[in-house]
Amino acid sequence: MKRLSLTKTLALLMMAALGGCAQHSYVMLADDANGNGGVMLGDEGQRLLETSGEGMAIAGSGQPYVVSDMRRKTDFDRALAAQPALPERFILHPASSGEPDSATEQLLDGILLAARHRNYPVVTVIGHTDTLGHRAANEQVGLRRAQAIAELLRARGLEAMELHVESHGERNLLVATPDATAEPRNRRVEVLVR
Amino acid sequence: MSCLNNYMLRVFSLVAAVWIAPASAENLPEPVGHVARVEGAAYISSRGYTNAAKVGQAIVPGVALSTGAEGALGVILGDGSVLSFGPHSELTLDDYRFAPAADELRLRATLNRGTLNLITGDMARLDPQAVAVETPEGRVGVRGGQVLMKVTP
Repeated sequence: MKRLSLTKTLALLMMAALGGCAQHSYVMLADDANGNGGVMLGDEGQRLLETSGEGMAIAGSGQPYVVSDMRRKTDFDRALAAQPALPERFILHPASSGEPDSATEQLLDGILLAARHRNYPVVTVIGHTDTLGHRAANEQVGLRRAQAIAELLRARGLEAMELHVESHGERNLLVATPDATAEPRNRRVEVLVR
Repeated sequence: MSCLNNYMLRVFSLVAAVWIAPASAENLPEPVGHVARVEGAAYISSRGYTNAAKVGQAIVPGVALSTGAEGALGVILGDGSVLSFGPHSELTLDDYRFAPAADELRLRATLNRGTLNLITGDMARLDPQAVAVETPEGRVGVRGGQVLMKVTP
């Protein structure tokens, strides 16, 4: 009798220990995106996770630890398997003449193809400018740039469930510059196919 | 084909309307993303109604996404952020705004239970403070990259 209860207690203790280890809520950094990724925990964001493959309990004040492949597989296999095809991004630099050059033509073909490969394509066309000129004016310039590309895509028979045409003006730079700086690489149209 | 063109025309008018009259567009929640993958039992709840999730379905701020025992779900948001969930998961998209021209960048969600795979998009690249996921055990700020989260009840 006594022996049985001792075994039972031991078993319960072991279960609790294993369960405690496996049960806590945690976050792990799967890809640090070349040093740009990371996680901040705690009220002030003072607990940092910056290395791929490391995890940290969400509660408490624990430090980062390496998440084993087995743990990662057990916990996240299903969520990772449900990951949809990643969005495809195209960056166009429309010529000032408005006539598409051969590089632009090639990218337009690529966009049409990417949309055809998806069952419910959503296409976003976003115009961008450099920081030269006023912010409000640049938002309009970006929008006109985006509309011109959207027009070319429609003329070529783009079929999309949704087509959004937007402008980020000078607020989404490809190459970081100070204000009032001419930078041709920032004058662009980005097309996101998802 | 003509139906699709019609649809595109409507989308174009909608987008145009948003640009011309931002005030009136505020009444209609604009889609901020869509469902890109569904496996088994997966649901979307909005304004008190819960329906089986369908690929292509629009996502608006405020929706709750959930999966059942064998369910899995993948969604893509406007800035290119990708979220996918394993079984027994539930997430509410509390707030989402991707408008760099207006300096508004926010992705706020609550993961109540389950597993989340999050690949950040332009939102995090433009503002490393923009993406945060609340959990019952605390807040997870995501500066960028790919992050996996597990919340146990």
